[in-house]
Amino acid sequence: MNDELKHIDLIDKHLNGTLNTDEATHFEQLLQHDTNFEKEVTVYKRIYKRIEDRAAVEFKERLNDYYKEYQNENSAKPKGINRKLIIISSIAAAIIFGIFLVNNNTTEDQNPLFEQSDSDVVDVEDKDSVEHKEPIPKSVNEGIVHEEIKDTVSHFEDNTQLSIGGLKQLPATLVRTIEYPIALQYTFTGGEIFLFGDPSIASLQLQIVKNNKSHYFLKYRDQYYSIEKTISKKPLQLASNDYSVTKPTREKVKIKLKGIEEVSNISKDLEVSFSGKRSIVQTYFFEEKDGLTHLVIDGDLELSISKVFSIHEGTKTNYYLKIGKKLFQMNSEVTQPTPLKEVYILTNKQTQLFREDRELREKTVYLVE
Amino acid sequence: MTDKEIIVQLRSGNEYCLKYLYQHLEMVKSWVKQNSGNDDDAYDIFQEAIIIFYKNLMEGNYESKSKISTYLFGICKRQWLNQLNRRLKYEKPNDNFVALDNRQDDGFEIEFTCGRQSLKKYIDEALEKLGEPCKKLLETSIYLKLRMQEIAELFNYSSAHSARQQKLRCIKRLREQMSYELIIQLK
Repeated sequence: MNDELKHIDLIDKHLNGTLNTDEATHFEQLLQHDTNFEKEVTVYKRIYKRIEDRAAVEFKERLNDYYKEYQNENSAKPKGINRKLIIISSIAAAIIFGIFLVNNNTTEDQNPLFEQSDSDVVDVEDKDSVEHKEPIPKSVNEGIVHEEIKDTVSHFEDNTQLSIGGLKQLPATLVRTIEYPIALQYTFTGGEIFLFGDPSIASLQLQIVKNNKSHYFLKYRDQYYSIEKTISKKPLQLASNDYSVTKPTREKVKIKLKGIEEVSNISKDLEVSFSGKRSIVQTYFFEEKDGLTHLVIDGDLELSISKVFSIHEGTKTNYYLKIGKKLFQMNSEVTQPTPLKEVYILTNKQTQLFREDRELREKTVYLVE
Repeated sequence: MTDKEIIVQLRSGNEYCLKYLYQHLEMVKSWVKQNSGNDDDAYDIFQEAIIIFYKNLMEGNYESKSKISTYLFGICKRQWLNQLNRRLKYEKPNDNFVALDNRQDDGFEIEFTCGRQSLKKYIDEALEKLGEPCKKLLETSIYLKLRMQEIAELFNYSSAHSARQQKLRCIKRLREQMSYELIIQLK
């Protein structure tokens, strides 16, 4: 470590309150004999104060977002008949699950909670009539079922094997790969453009223009791309940049933004397996096998709503698991079971690729020369 | 989510899970309302309680003997009673200004340095220029006071030592963008 870094190290520890005795003595000496060092301490104090203040403000803003998110999740309940059906069947599912646990545990389990519930067991008729509905609530209403079941399961976490051994493989079509930055693709039909690849593009970044020969261009981040009418997806083609916008036409175009899924490919070097077990904390790890990367998830993946993505950026690869609206980021250096980490979809440019499809306000087409 | 699960997730850097703590807000609201406060008061102190809980947890100062809800509720009670005391002491009839006294740093503060550059802006610009992951790394280690071991895990550095090196290099780069005179002069 050179002198400058050493000094920064001392000052940082001082401001953090983590200097040990030797370091503290050294710090005092420098402070007294080195005016330059003294100056630097003042400078860093101010910088640190600002970093702390602004992080506090940003953190509070994020908390407000989390609160809104929490409110949304807890008010978005399905309505009408569907809702009733879900509630009835989820209660039934919870009871059936309860019976299952009781049956499995009565021999050795001393838990008073379940000795009691033995007497409340529903009659067989009820059980049969709802059994076939059980898969519905799992996907539609996590809130009710999962919590009830989880609470029940947690009592038995240690002594019950709920899983059936062996791993299931995630179908290859659900394991996707893509290069970042994303090469956008488009379709263009009668007044409507679909842009595939990045649903987080802001409306302000996009402009539709055409020249006097009725050739259309998409202006995105100050760069012109030539576009033609097409029903099948085409990559955006860079066009010359020396146009200048003159006046608006009466023509309007609607732009719809779609996620990366439709521009991603099936991964050839990643394999995903999962245990199908509903554990309290779902974990994952990576292993290398015959030149393949193998991702193992200890948890249940509902095939209709789950996908794994690997995003290559330069030499780096980021892995994401998307389950419904939830996004989890995984680190390929993890070789021991590690809890899955949910990330907020607006965290960074890559996570924003997983936003829902968006439709932008209609845009006026401008003329260029 | 259970307490255990929330703690595991938060410790592994999943800050987003803080949202599950809001299930305890109702309890605080009803208590604050019984004690001459309103919903907004409750929300404010609950927010503070989450910050205290989170910082303690990340610094390694949270002992999970009690339930998170009990812990949060405890902080809220103390904070609210302190605030009530303060209000009773200073509040005169029709005096609404007192409520502002604990809000100095919420981003509501008035800029007196309108028109010329402020220290705040100067440092902010340098931070923006610094970019990621430096910015995030400094924020987490200086504001949340996360230990280097945890920072290493969060930012994928091979060890606490290399995380520390990275942090120092980030600070150095940040410092290099700024002049001593300006930092001292600007308010």
